[in-house]
Amino acid sequence: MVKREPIFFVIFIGLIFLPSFVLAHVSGLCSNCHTMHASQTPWPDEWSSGVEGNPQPYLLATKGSSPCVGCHSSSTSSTYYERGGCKVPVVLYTGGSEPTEYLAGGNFWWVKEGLGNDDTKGHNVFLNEGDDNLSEAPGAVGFTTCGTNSCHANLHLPVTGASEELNGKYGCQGCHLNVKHHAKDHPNGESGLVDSADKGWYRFLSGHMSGDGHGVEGYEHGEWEAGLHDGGNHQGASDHNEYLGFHQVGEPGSGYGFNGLGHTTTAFCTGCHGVFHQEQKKEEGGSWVRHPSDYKIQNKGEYAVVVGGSYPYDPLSPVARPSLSDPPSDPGHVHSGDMVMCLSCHRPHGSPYPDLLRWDYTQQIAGGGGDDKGCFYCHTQKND
Amino acid sequence: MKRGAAVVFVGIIVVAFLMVFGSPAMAKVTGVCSNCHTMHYSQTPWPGWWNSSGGPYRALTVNDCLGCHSADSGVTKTLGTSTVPVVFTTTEPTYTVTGLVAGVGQVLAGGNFYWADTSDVKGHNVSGIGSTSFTEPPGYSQATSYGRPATWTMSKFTCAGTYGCHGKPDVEDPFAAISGAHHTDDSCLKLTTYDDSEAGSSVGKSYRFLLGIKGIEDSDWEKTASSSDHNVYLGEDRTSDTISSTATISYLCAECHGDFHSGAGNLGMDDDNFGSPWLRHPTDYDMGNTDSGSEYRSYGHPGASVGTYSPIAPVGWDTLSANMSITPVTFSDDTIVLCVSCHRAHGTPNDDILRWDYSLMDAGSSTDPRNEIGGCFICHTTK
Repeated sequence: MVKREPIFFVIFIGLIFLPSFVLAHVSGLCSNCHTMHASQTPWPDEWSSGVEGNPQPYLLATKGSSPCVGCHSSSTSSTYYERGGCKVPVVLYTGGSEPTEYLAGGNFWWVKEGLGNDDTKGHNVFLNEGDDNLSEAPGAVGFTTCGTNSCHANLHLPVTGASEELNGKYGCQGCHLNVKHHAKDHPNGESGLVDSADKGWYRFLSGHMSGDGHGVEGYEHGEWEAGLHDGGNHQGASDHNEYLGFHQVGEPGSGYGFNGLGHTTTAFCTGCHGVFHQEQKKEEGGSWVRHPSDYKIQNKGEYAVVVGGSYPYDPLSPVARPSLSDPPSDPGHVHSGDMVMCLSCHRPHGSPYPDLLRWDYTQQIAGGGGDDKGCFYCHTQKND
Repeated sequence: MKRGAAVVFVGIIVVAFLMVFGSPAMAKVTGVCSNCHTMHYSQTPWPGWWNSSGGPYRALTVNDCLGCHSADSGVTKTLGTSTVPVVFTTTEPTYTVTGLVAGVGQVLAGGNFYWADTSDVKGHNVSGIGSTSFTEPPGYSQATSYGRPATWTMSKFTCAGTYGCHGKPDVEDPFAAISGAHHTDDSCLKLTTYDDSEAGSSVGKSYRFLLGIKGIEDSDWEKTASSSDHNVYLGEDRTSDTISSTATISYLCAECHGDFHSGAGNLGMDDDNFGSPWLRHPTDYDMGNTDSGSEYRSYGHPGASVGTYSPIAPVGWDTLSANMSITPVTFSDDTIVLCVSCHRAHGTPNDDILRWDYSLMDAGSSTDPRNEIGGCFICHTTK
């Protein structure tokens, strides 16, 4: 025991000084988020009262309907807030009226019961708040080996009968399967490329089983695109998330998942909505029966102007890149080879619009003139 | 004379009004995308007004051709802010079959597939409507000369593509055959903005998406029709029984029924001679070639003066231009007999998809058959 004391001392000193090398991620006092025994006395006001004497998973000091919601919700901000010098993204705004600003992924306000309460406008991640319209994820490819209440089918009930990695998970963790707030990626509040398991994968989106060791790669905007939801220029249109894409010809059976589509956001979406990518054409060489995703914007017709190199990138209608760099190369424009993807049209958490769309589909009026926004960002002549 | 003058005066006023106030009526589809498209064919609950099943459909449409262009009744319907022409109804349309009405103002110019579902002889049997004992279209022997397949597959007969009328003949898939056409600026096909150099250059810029065919499209598909409010068809004043222009409406018909249009020997409208007496009813031939005193020089709409264009028995022009005069005709390359002079393309209550009931065309029963019977007698004015 005596001989071990110097080792513990070194580790202790290291913990004090080394965090500056661990550029991850969340920074700040552990007590910003964690309580070791849920027994602190007096109980700090900034912690959730419901945790006192009631320890939570991951030793969290906040409590919500899931381990995530406690921290990532706010009644005062719909984008992010500061906690102990650390910026915390808000994905559930709990104010009484719908938020006017939200992050790249949108906000769950619109789907949450008691708030927006509209199941068409968000993923149903809240416990026992199943979808009023759907019995399973639309476009599900039928994964059956992930236990009862598989996340591939629904998100509002905990998984049982599966592996230890999956059991009990639901909601946010249905997508953000292995959250790594302390992974070695870029500093909190700053942007950076996340392209490996060591870095936690893009927004903690990773796979399991056949997807073990795989995840999404992407360039994370340091403030989650706060203020860019309307295509505005709050931080500059060249300052945004960058998404990876993998061009598919769109033929029947063109694949899904990380093994078929690489480390792309679209690959991740296909885990639950694979039919929408796998069956975008009925026969080889035929025309589209579903909107293409991860498909190069064609250098012809009304699309040619989009990939001409001088077309401004619009965070309202993001495109995927065939490769990513840190920092991004010319992020302010769309380039040849860039692709349409699931996220070009949808926000994964929730939006003010049905189908989690980024814009109001009912206002996309062919021949109606107006700006090249929304659908018409790519379909540049349909509004003429 | 006073009545005729009044009609002409009203016609001038109407034309002038349209020229001054009529904005270019583009058939390019307008309206919210969700009127016609679904991105993943997954909407839940499924909007009832889409009224479809069996998808997903190509081009991300909520339905197939007939699905969108059908209704319980009516000649047009509204999807959002778009007006959609209806070519197939599930209830029988009103259609007065006499030669003095012949469905004008009751169905669209192409007619209605309703009757094809009741009888093989009353319409084109596309997309599973009705049944047919035909193994190939009548008059099909020269099809390869028109870019159509040597053999016909009746089960593939549909609205567009290789086995249809609309879109690209070299593309079998009907959706792919008309891809993009609905969103094409087709102002080049409108009366006030017609551009002959553009017309026919693509599916979307072809008359009613009939690739290569030129014409001036009436803005409401002849939902309302009169001598001064109608489609304007391109014809050709041929001097031999061969194909020359590939842009006429009759050429489109000839792609599948070519033996009725042209050909050597006994094919086409004549044998090695060319002229009356014809072997088959002429098409793409100008009535202005007839003697100045011939009965054909009295062509005109029933009840109107000679030369007044008749939407009951339309004739074609050999040259189209912006703001052209569309009535009266002058019998100089503007009285060209067309396939559609007598037939409607989709369907009618009459056998052979005729515009009027042929059995009512009673020669010699009237001293003024053009005005009293109409139909065939609009041209054959003294028969």
